[in-house]
Amino acid sequence: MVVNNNSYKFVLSDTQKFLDIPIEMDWQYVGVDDGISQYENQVITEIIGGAEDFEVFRFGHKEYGQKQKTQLNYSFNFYTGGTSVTASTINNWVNTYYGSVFNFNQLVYKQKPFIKSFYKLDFYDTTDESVQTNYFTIILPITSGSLDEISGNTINTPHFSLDYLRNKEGFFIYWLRKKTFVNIDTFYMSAKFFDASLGVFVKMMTVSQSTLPNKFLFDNNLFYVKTILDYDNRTYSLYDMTTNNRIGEGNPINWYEYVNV
Amino acid sequence: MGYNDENTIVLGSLRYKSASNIDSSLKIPFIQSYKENVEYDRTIDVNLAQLYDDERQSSTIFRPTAKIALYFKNSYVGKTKYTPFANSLYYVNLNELINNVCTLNVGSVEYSGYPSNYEFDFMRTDFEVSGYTQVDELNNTHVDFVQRSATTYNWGVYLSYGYDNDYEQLMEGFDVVSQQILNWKVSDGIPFVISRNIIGQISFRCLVNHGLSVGEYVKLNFNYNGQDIFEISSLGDGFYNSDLNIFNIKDVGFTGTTFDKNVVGTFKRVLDINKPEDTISTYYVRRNKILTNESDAVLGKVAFEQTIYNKKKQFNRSSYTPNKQSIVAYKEDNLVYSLSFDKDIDINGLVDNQKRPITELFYTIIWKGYFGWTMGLGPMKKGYSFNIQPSTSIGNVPSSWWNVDNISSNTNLGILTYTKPGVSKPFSYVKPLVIGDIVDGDYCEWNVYEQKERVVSSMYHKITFNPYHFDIGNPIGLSFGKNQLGYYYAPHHMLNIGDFSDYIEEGDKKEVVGIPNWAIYSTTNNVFRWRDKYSYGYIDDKGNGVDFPFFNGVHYPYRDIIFRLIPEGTNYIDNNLVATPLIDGCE
Repeated sequence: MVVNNNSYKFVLSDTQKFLDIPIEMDWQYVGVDDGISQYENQVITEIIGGAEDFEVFRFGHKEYGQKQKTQLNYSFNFYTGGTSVTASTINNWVNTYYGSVFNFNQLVYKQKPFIKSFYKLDFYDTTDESVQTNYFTIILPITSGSLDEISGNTINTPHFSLDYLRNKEGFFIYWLRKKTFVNIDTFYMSAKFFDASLGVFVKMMTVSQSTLPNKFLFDNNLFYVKTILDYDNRTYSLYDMTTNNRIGEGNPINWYEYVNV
Repeated sequence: MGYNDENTIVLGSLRYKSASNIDSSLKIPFIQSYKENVEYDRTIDVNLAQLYDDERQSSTIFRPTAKIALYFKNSYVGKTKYTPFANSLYYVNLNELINNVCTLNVGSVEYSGYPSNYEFDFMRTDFEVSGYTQVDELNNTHVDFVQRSATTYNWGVYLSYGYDNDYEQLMEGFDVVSQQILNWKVSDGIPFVISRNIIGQISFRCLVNHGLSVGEYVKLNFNYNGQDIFEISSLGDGFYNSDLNIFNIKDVGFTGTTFDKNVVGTFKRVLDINKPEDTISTYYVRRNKILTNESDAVLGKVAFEQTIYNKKKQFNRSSYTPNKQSIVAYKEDNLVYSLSFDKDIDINGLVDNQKRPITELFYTIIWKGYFGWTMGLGPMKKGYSFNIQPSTSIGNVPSSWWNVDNISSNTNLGILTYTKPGVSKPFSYVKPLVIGDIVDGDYCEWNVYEQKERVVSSMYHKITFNPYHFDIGNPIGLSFGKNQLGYYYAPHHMLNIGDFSDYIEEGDKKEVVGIPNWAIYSTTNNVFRWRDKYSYGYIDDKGNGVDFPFFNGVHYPYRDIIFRLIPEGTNYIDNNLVATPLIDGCE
C-alpha cells in the first residue's frame, strides 16, 4: 500500500458527501516464528558452516588410439653436468640415474639416498606463481620406475609407465566430485624430484634448456603441463602448454632437470 | 489492525440551520504498531549435534559402498581346440598332453583343463597374455585388452531397488522324498507335499521356508467339504530345522483322499480366519530396477585381505602350450574387492515395490562373460533355491528346470555376440544393463495386514559354458548342450538404507494427523495401518534401524558381500595328489 500523507479537501456542494477510506492494516504475527527459524538457520550456517561435499571422483587417464589404451608414461631426464648449461646439448640430459644422480651402490643395493627419493607432481590453478594455489599433489615413489640392467644388476630407471592395472600409483587423480565448493577442472602440473642424497628438490621443466635461445630467461609455462578433468567420463587429459596439443598418448611426457647456474 | 467505522462528512448548512458552509478537511492518521521479539526468540544456542541430525534426516542422497569377497572353486574341466583359450588353460593330465603334443599333428591336439581363474574374477589382470589378450608372434589374440574395462569384462555391478511385483511367473520344484515335480504359479503361494507320518496330524512338507507360526492359518488351493482354511497346530517333524519347512494341522478325522500322502498343492498364509481377505499373504517375484550404469561401479583390490581359499597356480611350459609361450595359469585365487559408485543415489520420490519409501537398495551383480567362455546356447537362466541341487559327485544331473528349452527359466537379460576369423561359432556374452532396466529378483511374500515383506527364496542365475568353444561334456543321459552343469550365483544383495518400525500404527484419518501415504486401510479394524519409518541413526531394542556414517551431506551405507559361485557338481576328480614318500628326508 502506498501511504499518501496529503490532506483531502472537500469543497462546498449541495449534497452530502461520504468518504470511505478502507485502510486495512493487518499487522499479525503469522509466519514470524518461521521467519525467525529461517534466520536462525542462516546465522548458524554462517557461524559453523553448512554441509559441504568433499567426496572425490577417481579420474583415470583418457583413452587414446583405436585400441583405447590408457597407459601414461613419464620420463625424467637428469643433467649430467660436465659442461655449462649455456654450452649444453640435449645429450647432456639423460634418462637414467646412473652417472647423473645416484652412484652404482646406491642404485643396485637400493640404499637410503635412493629409496627415500621421490617425484612430486603438483597441480596448480594457474601458472602465475605469484597467485597460484597448489590444490593437490601426486607422489611417484622412485621404486615404481621401470627396470633396467646394469652390469647384470636390476635397477630402477626414471621412466614410469602407469595404467589402470599393475603400476597404478600416481596414475589416478582424485578430485572433488562436485564443483560447488571449488569450481575448477583445469590444473597446471609441475614436477619436482626430491633428491634424498642431497636433501633438495630439483625442479623439472618440459623442454631441455639446451633447446632454448635464452637458457635462463624463458616462458614460465615451460614448467607446466596442462591437465583437464572430464567429469562426464571421469578421465583426465594432458596438454602441452606451448602447442595446446594433447600429450601422453603413448609417447612419454618428458621432464628435464632445470639447472639454474 | 483495522479501522472499520465509517465517517460521514456533512455539509454545515445541513447540520445546523444557521451554520455556514465551510471547507472541510480530513486528516487520516496512519498508526502502525510493531512488536519486538522477546529476548529468548532472538538468541539461540548453536547446537551442532542438532544441526547434524537435521541435515542427516533431511538428506536423501546415498553413496553405497561394499566389500566383495569372491568365493570360487574351479570345478569343471573342459576341452578346447580354440588356440587362444587353449593357451590360457590350467592343464590337467599333463603327461598325456605332452605325449599328444609330441606325437600328434598340431591341429589335432585337444587341450583340456580348467579355465583360468581370471575368467571368473571381478578384475581381470591378465592383460599381457600373449596369444590371448595380447597379439602373439603368430598374430593371434582373442581380445584386445582395454585396461579401463578390466573390471567389466566378467561381471557387471549395479545398484537397484525393488520396483514392482510379477505375479505371473511359473515355477517348478522337485520333491526329493516323493520324487515328484511340482509346478505352480508364483501367486499361488508356496508348494507342499502332504505326508502322514504322525497319527493325529497332517504334515505339509514345503520346498522352501513356509514362514508360518503356530496359531496362524493356511488357505489351501483345494478344500475339504468347502473348507479351505486350516489352523497350524505345530511345526516340524522333530528333526533339526524341520520346523522351517514342515507345518502340521490336526487330523480331526478327515476322510476321503483330500489329505492323502503325497498329495501336492499350494498354500497362502492367513493371520485371521475371520478376515481372511484382509490378512492373507500374497506371493510374487520382486522385480528390480537398475539405478546405475556398468561404468559407474569402481572396483579395486582390497589390500591385506584374502578369502579362505589358497591361491593355486601352475606354470605351463612353452614346449606344450599351443603358441609356444610360457604362462602361469591360475586355477583359483583369493582376492577381495572394494566397491563404490561414481553415481550418487537420490531416493527422493522413489518408492519400493509396495509403494513405500525406499528402505532397501540392492547390489546387483550380473554375469557378463565378455571373453565368450560361457553362454552360446540361449539366454541366461534363473531359478530359486529349490532349483539348486548341489552335488560334488560326478554324474550329477541338473534338474529339468535348467533345460535350455524351458522358457520359464529364461531371464530377460540380452545376449550379444562377436565372431573371430576362422572360428565358425560366435562368442556370446550378456548385454550390460543400463539405468532403468528391470530384472527379476527374489521370490517374496507380502502380508498387507502385517505390512511386512519376506523373502521366500533368493533368486539365482546359472552360468554354463559355451560347448562350442569349451566343452565340459554332457551330464549322463542328456544330449549335447541340453542341460549342462554350471555355476550358480545370487545376483541381488540387499543393503538396508532405512527401516520400518517393529510396531504397527493404527489410526482413523479423521482423528489422526500425519497418516503416511503408504498406510493401508484395514477392513478388519476399519482403520489405517502402517509402520513408521525410523529416522536415520535410530536402532530399536530389536535391532531394527540403520546407523550408517553421514558426512558430506550424504549417507554412506556399507555392506560386506560374500559372493559365491556355487558349482553344481564337478566333472573331474583331481588325482594329482602328492604321493606318500617311501623314504623321507630323515632317512
